[in-house]
Amino acid sequence: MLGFMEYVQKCFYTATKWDEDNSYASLNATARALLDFPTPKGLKMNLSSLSSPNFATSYSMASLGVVDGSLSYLYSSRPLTNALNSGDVQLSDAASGYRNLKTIMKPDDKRDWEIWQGGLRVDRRDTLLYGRMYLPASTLEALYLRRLAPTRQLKILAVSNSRLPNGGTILAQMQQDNGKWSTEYLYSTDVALIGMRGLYNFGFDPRKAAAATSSKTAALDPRMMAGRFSAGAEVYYGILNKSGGVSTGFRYTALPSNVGSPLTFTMTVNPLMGHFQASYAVKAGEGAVFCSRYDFNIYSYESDLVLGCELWRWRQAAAANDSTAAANIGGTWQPETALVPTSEKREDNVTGIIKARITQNFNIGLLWEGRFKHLLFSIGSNIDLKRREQPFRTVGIEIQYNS
Amino acid sequence: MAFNFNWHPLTADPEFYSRAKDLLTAALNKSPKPPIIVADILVTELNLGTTPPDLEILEIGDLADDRFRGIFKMEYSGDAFLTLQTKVQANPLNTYLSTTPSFTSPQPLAASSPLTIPLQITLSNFRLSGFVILVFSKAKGITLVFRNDPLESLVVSSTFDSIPFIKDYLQKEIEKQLRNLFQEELPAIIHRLSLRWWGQDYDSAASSNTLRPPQSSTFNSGPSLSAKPSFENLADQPDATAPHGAFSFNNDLESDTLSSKSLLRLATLTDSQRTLSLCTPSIRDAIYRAWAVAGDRSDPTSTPSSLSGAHSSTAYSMDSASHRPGLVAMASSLSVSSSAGGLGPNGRPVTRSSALGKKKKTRVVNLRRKKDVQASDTDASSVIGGSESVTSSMEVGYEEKDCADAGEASISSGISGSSSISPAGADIPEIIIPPPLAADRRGEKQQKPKQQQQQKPQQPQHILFPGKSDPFASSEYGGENTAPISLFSGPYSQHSPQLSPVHHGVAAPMENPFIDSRGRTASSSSIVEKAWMMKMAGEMARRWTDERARREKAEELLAERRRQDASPPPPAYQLSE
Repeated sequence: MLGFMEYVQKCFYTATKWDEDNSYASLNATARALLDFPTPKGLKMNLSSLSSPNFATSYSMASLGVVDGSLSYLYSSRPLTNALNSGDVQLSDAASGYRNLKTIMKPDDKRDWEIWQGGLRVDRRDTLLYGRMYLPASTLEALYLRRLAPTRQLKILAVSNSRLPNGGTILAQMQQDNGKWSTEYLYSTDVALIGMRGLYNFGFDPRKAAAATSSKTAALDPRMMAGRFSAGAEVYYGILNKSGGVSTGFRYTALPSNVGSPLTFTMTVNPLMGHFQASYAVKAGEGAVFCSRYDFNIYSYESDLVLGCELWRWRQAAAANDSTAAANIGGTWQPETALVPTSEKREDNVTGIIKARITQNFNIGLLWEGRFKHLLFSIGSNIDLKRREQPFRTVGIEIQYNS
Repeated sequence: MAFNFNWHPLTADPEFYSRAKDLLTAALNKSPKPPIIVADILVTELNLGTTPPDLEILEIGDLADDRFRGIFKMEYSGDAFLTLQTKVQANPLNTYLSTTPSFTSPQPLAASSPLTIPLQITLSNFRLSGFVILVFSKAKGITLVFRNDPLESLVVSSTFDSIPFIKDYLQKEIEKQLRNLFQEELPAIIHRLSLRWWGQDYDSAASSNTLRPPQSSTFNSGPSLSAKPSFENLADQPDATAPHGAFSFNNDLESDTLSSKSLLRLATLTDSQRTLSLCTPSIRDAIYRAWAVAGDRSDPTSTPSSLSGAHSSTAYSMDSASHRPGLVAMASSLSVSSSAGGLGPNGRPVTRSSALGKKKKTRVVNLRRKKDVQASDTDASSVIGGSESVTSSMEVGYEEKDCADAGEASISSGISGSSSISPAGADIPEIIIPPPLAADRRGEKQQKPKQQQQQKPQQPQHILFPGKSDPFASSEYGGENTAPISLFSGPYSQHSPQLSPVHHGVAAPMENPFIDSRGRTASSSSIVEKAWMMKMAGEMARRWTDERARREKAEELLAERRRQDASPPPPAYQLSE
């Protein structure tokens, strides 16, 4: 379950037309959401409010032996009218799961963002400010996000804690997304780490396509219909500790317009460490996603296998109502224009999401995310089958109320 | 004198290595490991080699069958080696991410993928050089402390020798860890090992350590320390009617615990007092609390039944409390004239020598010649720094040196295991106790003919004087020395006139042992000494009257508890003499 602040940030991205999936950092976001989901520990309660379209507050309290909590505030210069409260939000939005990649859009022209009033430019760049204070730990998190241009975004993250070396760290990221490709430059004050990430989408180029075909036939471009193949790489170098890291990877995703089951396949390689990672996720049905990930190191021969699945639970009446539609879809895949409204309607009826994963060490993670009246809850547990006497490592419940 | 250091029998014991490995493994895994190390550190091989370290004896502070305290200069360049095994994280980005908060983590996709590599490190070619303080006591085990950082160099060879960056990093990290190990962990390890070797004493030592953690019992096996256990032993005796009287430090009794023989004697003494026996057993060289603090009990033999152990102990503490101001003054005045480390140690000798009136068994064998010491003021000053502190009496000076050494040892190794101590704090209770004893006893003593004391057998104390004179000679008093060669003359002749009233009160208790020691040493001392003694006799008399006046003032304040005038020496005292 996403926290309310993360949800609001997603809404900010949506409102400012920023595609966070089009980045090398989120190349394997699907596998991470399905296999690395965190299970709650103890009792945690969140009380959040979007008191105005520009301002959000959130209070959380956790009790795991000791009581701790956090206060967070968020300000967005763009009114976030698309953020919904916990009673109305779609569960698939409030929880991270299989990522249906959006169609690559041609970025807005710079001139589209200009607002002139009486001969003067009055438009301002959209900004998001976010701060969070963890109370007994006295840790302060801060985020400054600014859409510098339609293709550019500046993100500065900072953590302040007296226990950290130098009292805290700052991470600055400059992200650029042209649709066809995206790059990201980052700098962290911790070890003076500089990094660069890049992602390139092969095939369809929205800029040229938009220029070539002004008509709506672009939606039927066969290159769009199939999947999307993206490749990227990242390089890091810590100036202070004189050490670096590098990795490269690719992703193939079947787009929603594809006929056949939606699937995502990623492969990343770390040539320095000899580490290979391959993940495969498939949306087998309307409410079932299966994912597997295999890690292998050619130097140490260490390997790891994780299997996971995500099941959606539908509202009974809605499911019956949609049975005809489901049969209809199951028979012949319809064009995108017809499919999208149907699926949105269906996802609205999701009342619960169950996630499960198992590692090769028989470590099982279970998570049930759902809604009870206006409360979002997630119940989870970590089970270690190798410890017979005490298999339940962690058990927890998290409750959210957003208004 | 010869010492025989056996290196091989230590290593011949097959169990020794396994035990040492276990202890080392535990010690290495105790402290939080750097994030680069992802598994436990295992000591797979340990060999002490065939070459023993070169030990140069700088000083032996204490030597007995069951005790030893000395300072060595150790140099080692042998063939010992040590092999460790662990697993390290080879990806620096992974270790970096483990230490950075997740919020500001750059969240690399795969650049931080882990790669754990088993690592074998062999440490060899140790080159050690340093000053070692070794304190051995049968009851407390061995305490070995490095005064400085002993590690000069070593060779680290590992799986990654071909990669210079990792090699340098490992070398640096391991040297850092080893320095820590030598100065903090090794003393604890050796102490624990030694306690196991003398297993029969382990339990008692451990319990006493836990009971009195702040006490510097492990580091200082000196007699003044041994006073503490005997105090407690006596207090623990339910019917210890005369713990004060039994506060006698026999020569046999100077060990850390009371010997059975001494206990027997004390029991006899107790019985004799409880039963109004006319025959009080004599305990040689003992000062009886009965005479020392008559205020507690005007007639010790007449009211034996009322003096339970608890009562006597409370009376005792009240007594000490009443003398606290004088004590504080004494301590401060001493610290004025001595170096910084000296407060605790300064007080302690007073406790012991004057208060207990014991002929101190001083077994310092200072192997350095006088000139060496003066020369070593510069080169080995770190070792003998304790001896630089100047005190107003010979014995005090000597003892202070001892104690200061021990104190400094304990400071430098304060972290080591169960025997961490704050020397000054530990000494304070002992400081508080003696002054009444000292004052009162001096009163007694002065009334006694001095021949008595001069007839006393010579004590091993003389041995120390040659070594001890140097601190005085090089001290602030040294410049005023009229008789520079005389070991005794310098401090005393010059010091006493300087004494302010406060100093009188303070220094006077310390004079007492000198009367004894001077008397005892008279036969063997030089002409200069004799002349000085004559001079001192007058000086002592004068000072005693001063002290007497001061004490009577104090007694007026504590009239109900203090004896108003010196009572004639009781028979028991004469018997004991």
